[in-house]
Amino acid sequence: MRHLFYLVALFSSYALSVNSVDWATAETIPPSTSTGVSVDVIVAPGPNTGEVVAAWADAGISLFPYYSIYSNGTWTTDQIPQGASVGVYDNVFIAAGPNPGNLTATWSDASGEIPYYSFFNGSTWSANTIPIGTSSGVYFDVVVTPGPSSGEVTAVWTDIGSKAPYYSIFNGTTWTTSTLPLGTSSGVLSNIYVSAGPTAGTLVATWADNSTQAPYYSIYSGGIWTTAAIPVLNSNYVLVDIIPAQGPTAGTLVATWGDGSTNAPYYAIYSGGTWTYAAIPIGTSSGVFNDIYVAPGPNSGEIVATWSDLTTSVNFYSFYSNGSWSPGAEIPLGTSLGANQNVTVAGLLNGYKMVATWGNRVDNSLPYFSTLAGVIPPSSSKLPPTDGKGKRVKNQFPLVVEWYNQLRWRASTSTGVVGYNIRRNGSLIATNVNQTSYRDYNRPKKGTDVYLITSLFDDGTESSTSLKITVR
Amino acid sequence: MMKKQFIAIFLLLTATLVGDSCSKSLVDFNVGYFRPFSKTLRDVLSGGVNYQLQVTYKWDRHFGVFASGDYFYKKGNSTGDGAKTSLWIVPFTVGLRAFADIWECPDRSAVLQAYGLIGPRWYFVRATNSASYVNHHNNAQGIGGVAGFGFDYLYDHLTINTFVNYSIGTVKASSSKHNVKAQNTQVGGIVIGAGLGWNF
Repeated sequence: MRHLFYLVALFSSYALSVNSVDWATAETIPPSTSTGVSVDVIVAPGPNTGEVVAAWADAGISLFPYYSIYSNGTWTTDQIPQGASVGVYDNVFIAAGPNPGNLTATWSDASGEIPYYSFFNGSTWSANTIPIGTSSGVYFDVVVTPGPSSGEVTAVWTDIGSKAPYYSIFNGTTWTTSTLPLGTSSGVLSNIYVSAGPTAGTLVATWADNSTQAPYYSIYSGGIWTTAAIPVLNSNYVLVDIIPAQGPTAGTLVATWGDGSTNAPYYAIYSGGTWTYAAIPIGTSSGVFNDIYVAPGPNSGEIVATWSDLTTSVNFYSFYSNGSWSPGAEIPLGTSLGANQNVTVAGLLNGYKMVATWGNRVDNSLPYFSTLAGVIPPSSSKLPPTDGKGKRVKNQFPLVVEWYNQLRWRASTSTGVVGYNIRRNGSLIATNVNQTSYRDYNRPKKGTDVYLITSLFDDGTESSTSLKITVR
Repeated sequence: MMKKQFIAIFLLLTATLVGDSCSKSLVDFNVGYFRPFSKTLRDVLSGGVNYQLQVTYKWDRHFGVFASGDYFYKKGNSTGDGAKTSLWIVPFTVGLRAFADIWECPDRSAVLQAYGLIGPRWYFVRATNSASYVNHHNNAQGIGGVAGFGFDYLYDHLTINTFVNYSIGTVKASSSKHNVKAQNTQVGGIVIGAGLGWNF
């Protein structure tokens, strides 16, 4: 009997470990009024806890930007207000920030390579051009990421004339644009990508050299970019783009690309100031069609990479854990025919799941997604509070009446939390609240208030994600 | 509904104009329980003690005029977060009062009278709130009316009085705080009480 128990326990443990890298069968993201996806569906951590956000350019003649937020298992899609932009030239990139609850979407305008952004402050969007400084315009995409500091996002693009890399930092009000030093690089082949750097307050940008297609990187720290080549031998050159992300452990980076000669997937890990690289086991894939997207995995020490197969366009992934990659394997496509061009990947901010998104490989294709389920959230993150509840309460006095919003939440499980910051409709209304409830007085009897609650830590930092509570 | 109540009381007055009384003036101090008609006030404060000083001058055995001042003060809590609040209602009333003897001792040393009264009323109302998100004070005033009936037991110069008064009146305060709405508040109600008086 005892042996039977051990056998069942062993089988259960094996089953759980297998489930931890199982992708759910792909489903469509409700397109709302979008007629389909023009190129890629770019996915990124969302504005609030447990959310991801995806963005794409409409496949129709409009090329309007769209976004969809994945929260509690449901996608909510809408058009991104685009200001004077006539539409999106290639892809729409999107990032959480500059502040908790915000989103910033960026793209190159379809008419004249002008960089545009649309900023969601928690309740409304506003769109405008990004000042281009000395740049003559955008070659392909405008890639955006949170950082380098709290309260900022950074956009990067390749200059359409000189192929020089440009960056612009947005603080929620103004963009500050400048060039990014090329080092020994002659310029950018296609897109320059950017992500959070190896340490707090830093960024990393990567690109393929315009003439040699060698991979380059630049780390932004203390207001200065330091550029160098990523030393590679076996990989001759980068197929199109090289995608960076924070690495499997603290202080590390990872970059992935398709080999320009063999289309094999490659990766490099930056640790202690040096890069080491190797091929990602290709598994049953025939190679990389375009780019390999990469994101930190659900747990420390893990990375997830995704790509579209060179010959079949079937979606592949590889999971990095315990220092090695799993062989490339297919993501169950369901009714999808595979990716239009790339498969992008991001983690839900609470680390419970990874989400991969792509545009279906047909004209006017629908957006698709698949989730990687069954993993455990990291415990060392600076997490916001959870389980938020809110209601509007009538507060009757003898001769006057007012209404307040009663907010309640469950304390953050992170260590070092000293209080909570509360934003209403994008504006900070309370800081360092040392309780798990709050009353926001003198609210209108009718209307919607959106609250974002972040954890405040003893080192003065704030959780990068927030708990969202909507009161109607 | 309130109009019907006034009419009924007035008819009661005119229908009971019998009896006798020798005194010209009467001063009463009454204490009663005030139950507001307003559900808002009941929710915030519930009912409470009402004090009244009333002076009556009779020009006839059956008729007189009266003037009275009332005082009601009650502490309570707002309905939402339970913030401390309190309310003063201080009405001043003038009106007609009619009497009818319904029993007397053979030597007329003691008399039991029924009476009714009716008149307009001016209200001064003040609320004090401890919460910072509403005005600390809200003042309001308004016009209303009162009608009532009762029984006086007269023994020599002393009067023992029991009564029921209905009053109505609406006031509206003002508010300088954003998203705080001043409401029309019914400050009338019913008072059931008793008192002592002195005949001159």
